[in-house]
Amino acid sequence: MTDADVAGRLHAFFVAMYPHPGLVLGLDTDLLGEWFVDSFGVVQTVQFLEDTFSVTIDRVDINAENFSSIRTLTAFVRRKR
Amino acid sequence: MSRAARLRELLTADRPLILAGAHDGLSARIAERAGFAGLWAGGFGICASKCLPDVGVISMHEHLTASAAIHGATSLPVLADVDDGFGDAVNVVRTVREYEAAGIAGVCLEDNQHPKRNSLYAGFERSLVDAELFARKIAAAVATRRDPAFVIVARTEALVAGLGLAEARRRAHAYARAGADVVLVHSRASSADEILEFGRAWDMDVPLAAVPSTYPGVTVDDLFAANYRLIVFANQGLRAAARAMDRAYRSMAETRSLTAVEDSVSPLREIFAIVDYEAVTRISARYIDPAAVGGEHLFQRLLAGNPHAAQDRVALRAGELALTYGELATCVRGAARQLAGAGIGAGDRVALMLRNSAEYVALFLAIVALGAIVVPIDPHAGSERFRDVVLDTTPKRCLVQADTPVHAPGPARHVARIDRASKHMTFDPPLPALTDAANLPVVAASTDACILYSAGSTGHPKGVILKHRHLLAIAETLADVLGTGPDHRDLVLAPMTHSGGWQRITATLLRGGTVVIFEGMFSIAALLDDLRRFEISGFFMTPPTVRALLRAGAEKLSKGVVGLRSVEIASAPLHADELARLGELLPGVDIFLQYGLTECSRAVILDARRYPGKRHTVGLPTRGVEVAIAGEGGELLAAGEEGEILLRAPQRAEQYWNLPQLDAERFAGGWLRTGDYGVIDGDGFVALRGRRDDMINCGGMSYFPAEVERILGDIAGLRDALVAGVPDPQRLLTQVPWIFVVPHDPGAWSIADFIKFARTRLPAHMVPRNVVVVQAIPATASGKPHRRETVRRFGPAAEGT
Repeated sequence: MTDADVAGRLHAFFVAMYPHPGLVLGLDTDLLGEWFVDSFGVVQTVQFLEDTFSVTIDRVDINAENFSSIRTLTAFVRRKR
Repeated sequence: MSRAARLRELLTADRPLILAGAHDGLSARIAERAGFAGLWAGGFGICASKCLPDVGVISMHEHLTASAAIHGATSLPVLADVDDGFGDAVNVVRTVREYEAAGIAGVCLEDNQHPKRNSLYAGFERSLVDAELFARKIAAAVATRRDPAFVIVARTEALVAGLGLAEARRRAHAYARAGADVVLVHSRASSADEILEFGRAWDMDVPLAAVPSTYPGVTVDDLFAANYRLIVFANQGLRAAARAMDRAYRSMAETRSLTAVEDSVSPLREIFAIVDYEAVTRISARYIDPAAVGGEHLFQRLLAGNPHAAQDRVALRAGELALTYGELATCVRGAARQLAGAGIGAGDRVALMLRNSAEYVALFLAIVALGAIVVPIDPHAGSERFRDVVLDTTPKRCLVQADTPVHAPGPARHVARIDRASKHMTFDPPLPALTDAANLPVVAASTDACILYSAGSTGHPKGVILKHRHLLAIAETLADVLGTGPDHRDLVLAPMTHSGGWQRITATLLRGGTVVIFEGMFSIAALLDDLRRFEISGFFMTPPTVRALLRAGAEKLSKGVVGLRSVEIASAPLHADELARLGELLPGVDIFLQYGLTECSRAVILDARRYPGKRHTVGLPTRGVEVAIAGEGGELLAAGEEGEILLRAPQRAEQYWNLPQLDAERFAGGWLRTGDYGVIDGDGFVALRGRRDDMINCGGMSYFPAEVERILGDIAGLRDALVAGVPDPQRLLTQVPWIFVVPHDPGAWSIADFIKFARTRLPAHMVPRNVVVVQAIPATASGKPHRRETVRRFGPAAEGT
């Protein structure tokens, strides 16, 4: 799976899970500041990453750096796979 | 409600009432803990425990002393089996007087000839008194009782004496006509046939009772179907004890050692718990220890005068910071002296605007130790909530963390931090501390401790005043339910600014346990990591966390829950099957579901593991709590009828902050009107039918749409706006808020800007998850916005159609 595939899947997931009509979700949109509304956004994203990309995510991985945008999450998935 | 009234009520329920036989205080307490709703003080058991035959050789006072011990050891109604009333009608009159005065809920009188001969022993010749004479004895008992609720049971031995069904029926009719509340038909047969035949042919309204000691094969349901409402399991407790003692004594005598019996006897701590040895410590701490002078306030009970608090045990852990009970008490005293130096005293409000931290806990206790009032503000609640609360309570200071958002206007801010080396509280800008010599004031239990804000239907949040004794009552209830002790380690996930999180802390500290504060970004991995790392025994969570745990699955959970003993779940609706699945994922872990309001937290708790058949309810009222159901006109309804839930409880708030009119509405007649609708079933379990219609419950946080509309509705460019809770499509949160808007100029209006604005003004659970632009908001006939119709037309199901 290429980076573009991963980013595409993530994009589809976020738009479906957290509809913000009128807002455009880009590769660098601030997920924590602008897209998730509460901490369960992160919880659901962890579950999605584990299920979809067969990666195991540890507590130390769950930080603002990895979860800040689709771009950082894509890089994170690549490192983990 | 008197215990007699409770017994009477249980007798009218739509299910059979089982009384457990007890012969002394210990057996009574054990039966109560096993879940029985009432007790039978049986003559056979009381006599046998003195190694006497049940033949009327013990005096009324011996029997009464044993019955009173049974009554005193429990909170259950006790029906006393008083044989023939110890003589004729003259004796019966005195018997009823004495037993009623002792608080016993009722007596059972039988038509045996005096002196009584036990019914089950085959070797006795027996004869019965004349039916009319015995009916007059019953009439004497009925006329003597002072409380009309006191239950008189007439027992006929006609079947035992071999007089046949017709004679039994003739006697039962006579006793019922004489005023007996229940007729007990005794049988010594090994099958239930004659009892069932008797019951099926019974044609009076007076309920029947049976004692199936010799025909144990019959089911309670079969008896109930044959008109037996009261069923007595009379003497099995005593017989179980006799068998167990026989084995233990023989084993000790044979082996001349204790090792063989050690595993089959109750550990001492179990006896301590059953008998409640802790009561001694509680009473000493309250009335005997010199430290107790100064009263029943939080700092005293949790720290300064807490008999369970070992000075060198860790009380509080947050990341790398660990405070022992001794260090925490010193830290709280130091913080209190600095706050006192800043002029904070009795009745002053202090805003506490910190995320979950050791600082929050220490500052809360320091403020209330001065007799001042804590006003918690969630740092992420947004500027509107901050302004409302500050205008409402006019706090003298606002205590914050370095990264707490700044909202203006507001009182002077001080960044509070516990120094990691000295473990003392520091303030920036600093506060001038009073000298060490200055003592903390004496604070009464009736002092206001905090003002918690909760949803108001007008859109303005209302401040609920909780006193020290309310907080302590919840702490004691929760500590008892969870069974917290010094080895309890509680992980605090929920915000301390709400009762859900804060009362976990008080319940843990009260019994000398350790509070571990969850830090960092929330994830299931992090939660499991903390559970394992700190060997957590219990934690409180909201339904979204439950759902996230269910999704994580058994494999992951098994790694984290090794030492876990219990979880407590907030009251937002959770499906019975979700509870069942959680039970499967956490075998051996107690699951408690709590129902309460800010005004009365932990009012009803369901022990979901103990009562799997009751998972559709929120459980039973906690200690000292009374639940009633009121109809439209405020009249109290019977069990099984649906209406508004009313609460009376030691932890129930008595006042809102500056809202006398609301006080009168919500606290009228000593009850709290919850605004929740529900029903109490025949076993006393409370089932919720719905919350007040419009209330939104998002992630365990409840609020009215009006509050969001008030804050977002005045935004420029909007003609109209309506907020409603819709079911979360992901089923993680119970509901999520959607907003339906009518812009003046839809072309020029930006949803993106609107959402950005909403994020700055509102806490996360109130930020709309979706913005739907509509042409007009549907209205009701009276012209008010029609919330249900709006959701039906424009909500999730309508989308894309």
